[in-house]
Amino acid sequence: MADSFALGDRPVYVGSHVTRSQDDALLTGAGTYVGDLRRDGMAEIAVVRSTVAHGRITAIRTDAAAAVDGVIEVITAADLTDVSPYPNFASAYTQTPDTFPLARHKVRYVGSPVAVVLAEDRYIAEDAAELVEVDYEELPAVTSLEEALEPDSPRLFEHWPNNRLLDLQPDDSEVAAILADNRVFRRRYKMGRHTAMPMEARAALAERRDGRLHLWCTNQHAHIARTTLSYVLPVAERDIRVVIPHVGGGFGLKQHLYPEDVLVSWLALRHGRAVRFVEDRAEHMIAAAHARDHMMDIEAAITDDGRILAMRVQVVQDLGSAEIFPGAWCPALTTAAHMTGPYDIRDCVVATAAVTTNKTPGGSYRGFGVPEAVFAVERFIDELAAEVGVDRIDLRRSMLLQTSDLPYTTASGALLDSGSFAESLEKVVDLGEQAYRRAEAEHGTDPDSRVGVGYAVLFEGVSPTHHGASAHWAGHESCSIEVQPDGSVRVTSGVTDQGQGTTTFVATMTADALGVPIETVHVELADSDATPYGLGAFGSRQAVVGGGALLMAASEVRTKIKSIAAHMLEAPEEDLVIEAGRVHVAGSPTPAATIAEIATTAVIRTIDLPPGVDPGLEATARYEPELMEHVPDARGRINPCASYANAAHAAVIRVDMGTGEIEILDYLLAHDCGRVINPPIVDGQIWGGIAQGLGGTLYEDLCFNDLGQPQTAFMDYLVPSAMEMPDLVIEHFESPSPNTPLGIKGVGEGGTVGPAAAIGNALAHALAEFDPQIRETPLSPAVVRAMIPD
Amino acid sequence: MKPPPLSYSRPHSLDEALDLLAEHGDEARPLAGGQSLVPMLNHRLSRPGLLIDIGAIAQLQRMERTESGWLIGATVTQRRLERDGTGGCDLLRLAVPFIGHRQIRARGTVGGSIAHADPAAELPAVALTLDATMVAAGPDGEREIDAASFFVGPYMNSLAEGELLSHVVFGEVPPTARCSFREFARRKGDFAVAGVAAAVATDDGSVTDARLTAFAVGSNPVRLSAAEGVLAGRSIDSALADAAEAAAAEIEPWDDIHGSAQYRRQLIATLTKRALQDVAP
Amino acid sequence: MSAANARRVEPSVEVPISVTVNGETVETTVAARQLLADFLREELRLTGTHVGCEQGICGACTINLDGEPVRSCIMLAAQVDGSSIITVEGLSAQGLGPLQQAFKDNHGLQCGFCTPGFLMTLSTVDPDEYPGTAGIREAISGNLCRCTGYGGIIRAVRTAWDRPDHG
Repeated sequence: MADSFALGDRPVYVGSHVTRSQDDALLTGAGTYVGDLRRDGMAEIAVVRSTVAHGRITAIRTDAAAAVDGVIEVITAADLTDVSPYPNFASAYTQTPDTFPLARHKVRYVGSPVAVVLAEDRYIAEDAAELVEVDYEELPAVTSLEEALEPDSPRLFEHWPNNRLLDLQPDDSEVAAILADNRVFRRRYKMGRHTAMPMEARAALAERRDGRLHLWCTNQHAHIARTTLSYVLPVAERDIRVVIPHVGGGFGLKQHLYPEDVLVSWLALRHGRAVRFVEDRAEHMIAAAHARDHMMDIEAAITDDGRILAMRVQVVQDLGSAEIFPGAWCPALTTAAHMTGPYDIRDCVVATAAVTTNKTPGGSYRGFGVPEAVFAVERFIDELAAEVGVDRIDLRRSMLLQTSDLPYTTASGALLDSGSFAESLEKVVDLGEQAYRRAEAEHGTDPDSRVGVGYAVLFEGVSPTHHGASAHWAGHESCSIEVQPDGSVRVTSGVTDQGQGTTTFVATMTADALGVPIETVHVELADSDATPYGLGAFGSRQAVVGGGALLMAASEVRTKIKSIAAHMLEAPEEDLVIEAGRVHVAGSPTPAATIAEIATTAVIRTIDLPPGVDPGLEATARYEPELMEHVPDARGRINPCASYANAAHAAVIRVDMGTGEIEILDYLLAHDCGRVINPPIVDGQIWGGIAQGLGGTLYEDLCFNDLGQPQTAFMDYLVPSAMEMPDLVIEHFESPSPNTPLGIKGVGEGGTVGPAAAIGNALAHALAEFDPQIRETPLSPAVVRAMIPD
Repeated sequence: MKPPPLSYSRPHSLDEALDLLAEHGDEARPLAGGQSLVPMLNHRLSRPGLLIDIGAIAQLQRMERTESGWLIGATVTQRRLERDGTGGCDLLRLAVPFIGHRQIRARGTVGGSIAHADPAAELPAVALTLDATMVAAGPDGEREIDAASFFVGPYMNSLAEGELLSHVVFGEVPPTARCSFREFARRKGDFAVAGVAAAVATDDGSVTDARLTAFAVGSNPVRLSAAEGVLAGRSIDSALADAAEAAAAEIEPWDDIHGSAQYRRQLIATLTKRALQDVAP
Repeated sequence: MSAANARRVEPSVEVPISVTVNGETVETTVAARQLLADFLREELRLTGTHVGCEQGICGACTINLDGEPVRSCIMLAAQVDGSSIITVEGLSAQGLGPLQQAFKDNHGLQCGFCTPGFLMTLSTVDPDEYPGTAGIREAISGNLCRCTGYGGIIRAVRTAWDRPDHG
């Protein structure tokens, strides 16, 4: 990588545990989440939501609601005459859903916004919302992806020929020929529907101030949100400011610009008073994005010893109603891109479909299609090993990419430039077998128990293009660094912080890259008026791409610091080092010029600047990873990510034969995200990711009945508590990417993608005597118990 | 998720509370700890015009040993049982930690839980197992209702209009009885998917008094009388399998997203077996 | 139960309350239906008490009420007459107290939304009632965190409660 990505002369923070500057506020109740904000004269909304899964709206009566004391206005789609539908930039290869902030003519899921009550407070708004009467002509509901695939299934969007929003059927003739000539093994896998469930639900507060729209919201992207608002509302982008204060977890769910964000904005502009929406948990269950809900059909041509020669895969994602922006078909494409795993499988062709059903729109969620792929591939390999009678680890070893194979381009086009696939697998196998023997010794004689160990090895694309999801934005990030006359530093960037530590990595890298104490660095993020245009949080990208932009800007500032210091100290630039806020000749700490002196010269006493040096000590940079591709080639191949992290997981479990409950005795993983910036933060990301992965595997399930009525209330949506979450053993490998700044790879999602596969394989091992079919998640106790004969 | 419009009152005596109940009839609803009622208000599943907060009525906070058993006032919190002990009532001691979480037990009351009659709740199952007597206070004085006739359906009790649950007297078990409380929940603190409460006395290895209750597997907690019958006069070890099978057969469970009726039968068989192993001498 | 000195109230949609919050007495009138969490957040502007579910499950709104950890989203403000409340804002007179510092040092928080609930539970319960690491897990089982997987939180509590790794 270019020198412009180098850290400074004497880095002291990167790689160490820097504590987080925002923690003092968060630990004393001084955090400011959107729901904590109030404005004088503020009003609040409650949304009237569809109670039927599929129906035509024949009448909406709002008079009774509007008459409630304290109600300001009740609106429906008919009032939004100056609002445009959300755009679809992918219309070349997708069908376009009617995505509008309030349902027009039809509702397509329970929870769909139909009307909005604006009232003096939320209590009154809820009172009035109950009085809005909506008549529906109910239509048959499509409630599963299998149904949606049927040619005669009821259509959500009547003008479409079917329910397939996305339907990519690449030429599979080459793979078909290999399948025809060899032994073939087939399996179908499904991953259930679960979602992010951040502890803070969604919230938005809009205000008209100085003729402009100001929106405080929980969205993960200040600028994408601003731009999208300008597409939907009749407001110029210069007149919109989006601010994201503290956010209580995003995990992808808060990537979408939801109807309520638009509605509070529209109402604030219309009434000239601040309007707040704080989503409650009951509506969050049905109106915030769901995720996963995938089916993967794998056919593989195999050798007699189980090695995979070629694969043909069909991925189908259940999108729910698809009324969401950006659209949610991209996880299916991501699943498709990960279907070979970190194995040398040169021929793999994947057909990808994303279908609409009468359920809550699917959307982004940590892992974003990868957990689905890893579950399918890693279960497939275990089943294949059993089928041909070889050891499941040996079968993996026979196909796994070795360091000497790198760089390696996968069948889907992903460029694996670095990694520790074999090493990480060997590490967890070693630990896993020891843990399994301990478990056997402890529980082996208990007739009510069976123990098992399962493994999963995986790669995971990080820092992806946004184009797959939006067909609009690409992959850059921005950073601006400005040294103030007193030597303190102000950094702004398009990256955002939902709790994952973004603010801290920005401060850490800036301090090292400029050679200044971290206390002197002030980080400002997520205010579209104050920060350069960037894409924000998704796809474990921020440290890679935001870090790259930051290092580029810092490099420019550093160069200027040295050129001014060289003049002040009368020493050659190349002999100077910057450390602890001082510039001096390497090896002799005095004489020195402080950053404050240099900045004062650059900004105030510009008469002292060396000849040819312009005033000011600041730089803005934008970085877009060079090798990241945004559009597939003619054969559908694409390298959609800046880099690829890898991991291996091992789970040792005990199955309670009476209840079917899975107890995790040990959970071990080896993880490789390249260079580590902040070890506790990396570990925290892995712990949190594993907890969510385990939740989706064992506990969390968003169920619907045949009418499309949601069946899972929050009390039944089983977010794991500390009693369910096991201790983890985490081993770190560091294989820096040659293609990213500092070799950093993202870590935000790595933990989430492995548990379904590792637990599924452990369960198959534990219950091997019963030949269980473990091809779906979640693996609830009832599901597991049904695998055990009475 | 905000409560609907309502009025609130806080009487200081049982008589005042009963007067308010009489005056407001169906419109009024007693509020004890509120750990079930307030969530229902927030969901607007309950719309009382008037809440009668019975939390400041000293008479309802008694806890004492009586001739007929352990008397616990309706508004004694579950936390108080946990903190101050259950006066030798072993089954109650075993059951209380399963009720929600610490924060719920801090406010949740014995009377509130029993009157709420959630089929998956712990205290109704304990009451049924110990042949508790529910004492209702009404306009005409006190009325005793035995546990078996108190729970009449999911979230339904046999209190008459105008009556309040004043206290519960948990009956004694034979001195040699051993107790077990087994509950299977998806997460710590969740409502049970199935549960079994047991109090079994033996003499010289033979069962002399067997009380088994299943909960969360039907519209009410239910005594497993067939399983109790199987145990009578036999050693626990020898009757274990038969009792578990009888228990699974005699319940009438239903399906929900956590498991089918068939799964709940399997759970009851497992939990019955384990509870009996717990109490085996 | 409610404090013994809670006053008698005739049926009303407005209820007078006197409550001590973080050491200061508040005398006011609340709407009968107002949730305690909303009273603290919207009337007293103590927004450190977070509302995560409004049904008594997630624990984000936990406060110390007369020495017990209590979920303020499933209590009415009217019920706290005569009581004493501590919220996260009242946890430390100045800066971070030892428990808060342990959370910071051990990366016991990420988004921070659930954190006040954890702090209030942990600062209210008696550690001796929750021995060992298993006890710590039990003590915090009524508080959900979606970011940390509880690893950093458990480390923080071990530090604050001076417990070895495998206690």
